[in-house]
Amino acid sequence: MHECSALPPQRPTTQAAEGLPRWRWTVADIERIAAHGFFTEFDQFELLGGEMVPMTSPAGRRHETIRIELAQHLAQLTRKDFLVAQRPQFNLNPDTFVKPDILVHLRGIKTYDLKGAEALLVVEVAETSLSYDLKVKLPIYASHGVREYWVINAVTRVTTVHRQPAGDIYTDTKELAPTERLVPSLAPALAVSLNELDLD
Amino acid sequence: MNEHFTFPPQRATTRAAEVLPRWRWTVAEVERLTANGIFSEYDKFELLGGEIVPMSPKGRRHELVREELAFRLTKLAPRGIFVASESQFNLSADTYTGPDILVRPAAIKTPDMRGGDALLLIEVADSSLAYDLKTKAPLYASNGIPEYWVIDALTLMTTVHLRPHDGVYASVDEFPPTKRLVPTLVPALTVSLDELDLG
Repeated sequence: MHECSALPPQRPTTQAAEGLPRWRWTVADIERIAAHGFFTEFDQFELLGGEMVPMTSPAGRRHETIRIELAQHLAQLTRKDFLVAQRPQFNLNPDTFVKPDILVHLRGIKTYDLKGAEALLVVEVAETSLSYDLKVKLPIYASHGVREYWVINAVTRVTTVHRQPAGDIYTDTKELAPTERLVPSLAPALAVSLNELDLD
Repeated sequence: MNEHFTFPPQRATTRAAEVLPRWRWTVAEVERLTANGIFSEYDKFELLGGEIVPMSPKGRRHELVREELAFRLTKLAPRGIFVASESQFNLSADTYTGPDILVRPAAIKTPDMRGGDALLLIEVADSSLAYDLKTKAPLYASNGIPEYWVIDALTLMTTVHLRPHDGVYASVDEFPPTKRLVPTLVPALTVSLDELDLG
């Protein structure tokens, strides 16, 4: 990290009303609030079932390197009819949006309008957020029909590949080492081994 | 109930992000949201530690008790004492409640009040009894509200909380509606709930 860089102001979070029924925001509400200038560029959050959950920030060097190198690699491999989106707002339902590290889908649909089952591949890179990506995000992606979901452990570079969503779980889960080829089942042209990437 | 009355649209609530660290709103931000028209006139809520907690709809009995008691206390109030009902009571930068009745010195306007300035705070509970006893009591105690009554709208039993210390009330007693309730800091507002005309 550059020694002169000042950390962005970190938004305080809360769990004060744990157990109580809380206000449920919709995606439309959040967009109206954003349009009034409420959020700064540092306010990164996801909307999960109507609740605003700030994203872990800063994400860390390893996380950012894998995310950026992998996205670049996939974008180079991709055919003209695919789109590789980085950190898009992925609207899963009227009260839920997430911001996956990488989202691959067909070009004919704008990312903003994409439905869960239309995603070809969702990738989350996890450094500090491993349990969040596996325990919180996984059931959300599965229940919205996202057909393939990769969670890359930024420390070990092991990828957990989830396929066959059923209810809020995936019935086909396997872990692949960085030397193994990761082949997206819906976009096999984007096959990659993490050790091909320049991650150091 | 009036058969032509239609219920206002009830805002959906959520507990989806239980256990996760959630966004913390400040009172100032919620006021900006309100000024920008984000909320409707039906949106009644409290802000607890930065979280927006919708208030449960009030039943007929709750409203009768609240109105009759507020009216009675207002008539009894000596000069210099103000009885407010459903005011926004800002307890800290990220917390406000809307107590059913708040008795304060007339000289301190409600938005400027701190917890310790309150003379008496009353919540009337029908469906919200557990919320008022378990969530609100520690909140009011930790903000130094010197006396807090929770009235069960159905039975008119009153739980009187006194002597806040370290986030709890050291004295908690329950009284029947026949009991004369004497507010420690404003004894002029002494009342028995069985005097109220609840129809």
